[in-house]
Amino acid sequence: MHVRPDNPLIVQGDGKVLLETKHPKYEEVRDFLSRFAELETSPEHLHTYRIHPLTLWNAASSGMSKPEIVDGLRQWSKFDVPPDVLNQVGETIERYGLVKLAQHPDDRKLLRLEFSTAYVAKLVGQVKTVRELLVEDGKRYLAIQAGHRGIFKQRMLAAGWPVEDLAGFIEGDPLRIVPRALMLGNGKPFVVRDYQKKSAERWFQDGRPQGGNGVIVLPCGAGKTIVAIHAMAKVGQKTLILATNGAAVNQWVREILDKTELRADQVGAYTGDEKNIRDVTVATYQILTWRASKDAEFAHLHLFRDQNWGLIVYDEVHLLPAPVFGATAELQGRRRLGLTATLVREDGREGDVFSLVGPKRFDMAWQSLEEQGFIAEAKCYEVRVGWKNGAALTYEKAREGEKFRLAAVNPAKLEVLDTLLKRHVADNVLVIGTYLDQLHEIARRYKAPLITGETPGPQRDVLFQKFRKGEIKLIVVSKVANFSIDLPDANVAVQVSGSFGSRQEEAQRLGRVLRPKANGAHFYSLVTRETKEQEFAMKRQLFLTEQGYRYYIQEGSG
Amino acid sequence: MSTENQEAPVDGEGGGRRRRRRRRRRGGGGAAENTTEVVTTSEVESEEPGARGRRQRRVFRDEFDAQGAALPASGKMVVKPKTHRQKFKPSAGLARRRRMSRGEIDELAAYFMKMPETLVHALYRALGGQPVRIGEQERVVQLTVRALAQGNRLGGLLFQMQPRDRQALAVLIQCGGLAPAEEFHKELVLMLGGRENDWARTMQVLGDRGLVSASAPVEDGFFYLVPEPLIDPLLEHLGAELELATFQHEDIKVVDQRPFCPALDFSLATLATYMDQHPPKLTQRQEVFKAQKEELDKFFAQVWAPESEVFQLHYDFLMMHGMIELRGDRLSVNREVVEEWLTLEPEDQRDLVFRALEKRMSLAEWVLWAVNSAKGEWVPEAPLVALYRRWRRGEDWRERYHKGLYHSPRGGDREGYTFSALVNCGMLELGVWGQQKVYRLSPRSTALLDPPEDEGFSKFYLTPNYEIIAPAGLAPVLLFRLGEIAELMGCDRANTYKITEISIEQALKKGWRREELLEFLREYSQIGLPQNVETTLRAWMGGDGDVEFHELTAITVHRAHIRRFESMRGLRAYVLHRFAPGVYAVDRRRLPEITLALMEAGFNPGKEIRRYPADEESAQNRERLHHLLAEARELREDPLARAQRADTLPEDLHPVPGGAIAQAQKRKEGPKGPPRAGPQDVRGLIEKAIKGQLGIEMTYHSLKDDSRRQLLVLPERIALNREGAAVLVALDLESGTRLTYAIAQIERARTTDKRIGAGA
Repeated sequence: MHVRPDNPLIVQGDGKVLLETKHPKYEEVRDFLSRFAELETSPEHLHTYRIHPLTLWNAASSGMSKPEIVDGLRQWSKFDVPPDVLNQVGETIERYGLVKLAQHPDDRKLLRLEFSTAYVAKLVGQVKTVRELLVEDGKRYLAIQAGHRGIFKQRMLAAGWPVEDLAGFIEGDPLRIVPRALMLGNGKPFVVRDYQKKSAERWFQDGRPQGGNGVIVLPCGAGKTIVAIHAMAKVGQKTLILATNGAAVNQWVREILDKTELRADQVGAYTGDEKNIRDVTVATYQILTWRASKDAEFAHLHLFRDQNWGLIVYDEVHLLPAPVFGATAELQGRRRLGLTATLVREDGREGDVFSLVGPKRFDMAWQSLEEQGFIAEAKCYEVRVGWKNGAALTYEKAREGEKFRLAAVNPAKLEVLDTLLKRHVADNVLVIGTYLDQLHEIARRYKAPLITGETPGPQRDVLFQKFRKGEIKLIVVSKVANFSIDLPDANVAVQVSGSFGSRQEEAQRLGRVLRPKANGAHFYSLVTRETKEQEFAMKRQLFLTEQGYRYYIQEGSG
Repeated sequence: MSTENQEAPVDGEGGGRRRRRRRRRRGGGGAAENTTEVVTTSEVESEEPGARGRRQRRVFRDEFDAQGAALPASGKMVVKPKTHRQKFKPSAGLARRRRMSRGEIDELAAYFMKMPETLVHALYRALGGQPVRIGEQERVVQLTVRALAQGNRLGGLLFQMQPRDRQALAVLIQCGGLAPAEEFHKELVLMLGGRENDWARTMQVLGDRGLVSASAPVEDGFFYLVPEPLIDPLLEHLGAELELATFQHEDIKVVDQRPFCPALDFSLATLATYMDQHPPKLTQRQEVFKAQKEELDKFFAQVWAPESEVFQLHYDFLMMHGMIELRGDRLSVNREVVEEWLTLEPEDQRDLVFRALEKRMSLAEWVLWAVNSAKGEWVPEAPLVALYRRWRRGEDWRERYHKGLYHSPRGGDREGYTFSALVNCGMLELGVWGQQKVYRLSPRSTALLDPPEDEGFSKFYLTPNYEIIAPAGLAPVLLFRLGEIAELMGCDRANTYKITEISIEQALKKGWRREELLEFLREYSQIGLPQNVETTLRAWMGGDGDVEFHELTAITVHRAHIRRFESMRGLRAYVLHRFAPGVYAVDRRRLPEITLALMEAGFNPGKEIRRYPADEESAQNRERLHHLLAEARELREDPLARAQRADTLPEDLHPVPGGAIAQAQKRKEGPKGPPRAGPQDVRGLIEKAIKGQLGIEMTYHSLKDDSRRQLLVLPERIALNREGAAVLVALDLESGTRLTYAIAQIERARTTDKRIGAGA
């Protein structure tokens, strides 16, 4: 066994790859790894990547070869690369391209399958879930219905046969989208950052059939909207954008108008309040999945077919609701771009997202952007708060199901909140919570506006506008603020209560303060000491530290 | 066990002797490198001071640099991770010797003086001397020794000899320098062809040159013997003849190669940790339960295959050295023994491994050394088997020689040997090329025989998400200690551990102390101890261990000698704990040993052990003194003040009798009854009263009318009522009737002072 301790990688037998981040060659090795392995955790000093079939097929689809991967691993590894891993790389990569999906020369409703050998065709034919999708195409060929393209690829992938999709995309109606030289809002030059360009280019792949679909993973505040605008400009066709809620839709519309030369009459919002279908339409997931009753049809799914869309953008793609999965599976002929800050889906359906929207095309560790100053340097604090006035006894006597809520709304948190708000009196602060009673009390205590699900959209916009302008320094928000609320100047977030250790929620809430600012960002979580809340906070702590954030634990006092 | 093993050293000279033994056996294995290695006991012993320490596999940083170094719970010293590993095998570190020491020369001369004159003369003649021209035997011996000391004289002699002569000599040395003539001739025919008579003549030639002699013949049989002092110099010059043939081909297929073959200390430490955290349950046949074994195999899938002998080697090793033992129906790890093994000198560690291998295959150690001499190349099976056969025969011949059995009790069949035991337990790799079998050392054996100088891993990675990544190559003792404080999650090129609340709780139970644990993590983590981890650990550990009692034997060192004491590795090994510079805990059972070591190191340990308290009498005297002191203090006080203080104790103050206060209090208190007593007290009181025939005055709570009555009774016995409750059977002195009273309902009770007869 050869040992080269000066190298930065440890390749484990199960395909896990550990990378030292303080190594002088870190960036080079990171770029190499990110092409065929997935970043799993990125705590300070040691990042963990995972090599698995999907990532290897993605690498193969982007033209990476087995020797390139094997040689690189051998070159950078501290220990001999496990033979199992080398075999896995070889066998997996070699599988890519054995089955190809191509346009049918005669019938546009069909897509023809091309197999590298008859034996491969035979093996594929034996896969039960796939066999039912196959259609005889003359005597020599097999084909599938064009509408089954997504589901076919999904099932093939599950069976270990990655399909090289060369069928290309249906061209949508052309739309000239030109980025502005100067932004409309502030008159400053509109500059697309390198990583934004790079991610859009990796997704687009010069218009080749290999590109044009997939997911880009960037942290909140890294400018995913701009990536999408860049991608839209490259495609140059009518675009449908799906976002999480009305506020996010308004933000998209504002950004597109601010940064492209599209006119207001070319960009429409399709929400519960207004239903404008224009060249670029931004809709919410909710409206798409709305139906009059449980048994009724989804009334707005027609939106996918209403226009000849050339590109569909899925914002916060990890939140893609189940009904949209089905619709997306039928849209495999359209270009698709998924944007997200976190790969985590609490229901574990990440694989479905990637197989339907497309593989991950670009990923960047949060702290890499932080180091380059593109997002704020964030410090996370867990402030542990004790009980007061005999509340501990109430907690101990409470039923198990009640305990978490009691700990979350611990009144002693308010005293700690006083201290924090005094400390950040000059900052723009978001107080985020889950329990409305608690939030109402906080809003009353500090005479601050409260935004909940019941706050009408226009009112929210007004409040956000005031917050941006600095007229309001403190906003209290409920769970509605978890996603897509663009508050550029918020640099302090105080989480007074959260869900049961939701990692996704934690990441999104932290994301609210990640846009770059001079004094960095502070993210406080108030947690009642030695309670269930602290147990759940431990999970969140693990998640954030795995993401590479500096996490401090403090004892809170009023 | 081989003869060599029976000679295992037990004294301070053992190391040197052991090394020499290895060199010879390796010489028997035939390595080209041996041509540059000549060593004698005195040479090893005459190494400059500290050379031994430098040769150690791991050199640790000075343990005592930092003030208040944290120490582990086991009581062993914290061993710093290795920063340097120096290559060391029995003779590799020793350069070709240029000249003999005075001691060696004397030893050689003494040997030759005892040899028959003719043999010495023959040797001297062969070395180019002319003994006939020298009158005195002493002078001939002197010159022979001098000639041998000039290595090139012997080299020249061997160079001039026929290849057959050199081959025969080499084979004889491989057999241990001793062989019965007739059988040895057959062995030579088997090996090298030719006829027995020819080989007999060859041996005569060697004998004429003084290189080989014979034992006294018994019934026409005799033994060839190589004079012992000649073996080392001969080894130096017979490299080519002793060398094992090697083989290299790119198509050699390795059989059953494991993806990961770490050093044994790594896998042993990891397995010990695993067993500590998941104690396996044994069946009645003393085998690990199947389900647990499968889990274990799965966990160690990178290191061994299911049902592999590699696991069995690990298991046997831990078992035979008492590192694990059966407690109840589960295996339990003796952590202190494991730590002790992990902190042993690398050579001693290796000897224990060889001892375990010896159980699987006789002379296993020497096979490994022989294959090691091929420097990573493949060794074909045939020459290795031939060499092994000669070793085994050599062992047999030696035994027979000492027993005086000059004729073979067995036929002339060639014995068949296989190395599958070493292959199966992962020490040798078996390669196949066509029909040809070849062997080489596995990385595991290579690490054992030639530990890398420095694997570059002195610290682990402790990340803020409570994970610890410890690469293979880290000092195994650190790995083992990590296993005491964190859950082992995976065994691979880098072991993964996770710190959890439970693991910390377990660590505290194992004796880790809070600050010690934090210090350990802080010191050996590449990135220090993240704030969130430290805070959480502190919360988990609470105040445990803030104040502790120790039962120990302490030694103190005068401040002028602290540095010297702490810098001596030999002494540090005895220190179980360092409380402060100059104050250490040691094992009381090893006091004589420690005293000796201290004296050897130039310290003057006190002859008496200081005791706290000193002897019993002194303690009593001291106590007496304190009594006297108290009395003296009392006397010192103003008598009036003392009287007043004694009279005015608050609990003794009462209202003036007859006064309003007293009367009011009396009214309030009512009649004073007996004191309150719990059922246990009541029971005790009753027993006492029965025994002393005393009456009992009591307050009895009647449940019938919820009233409380003052009673005076004469107890007779304690019985059980229908409900099974304890009752007092007693005579009510007021009514003269015998009644039962539930003891639980007696609220107050006291015995009467006077004895009351049964007829009262």
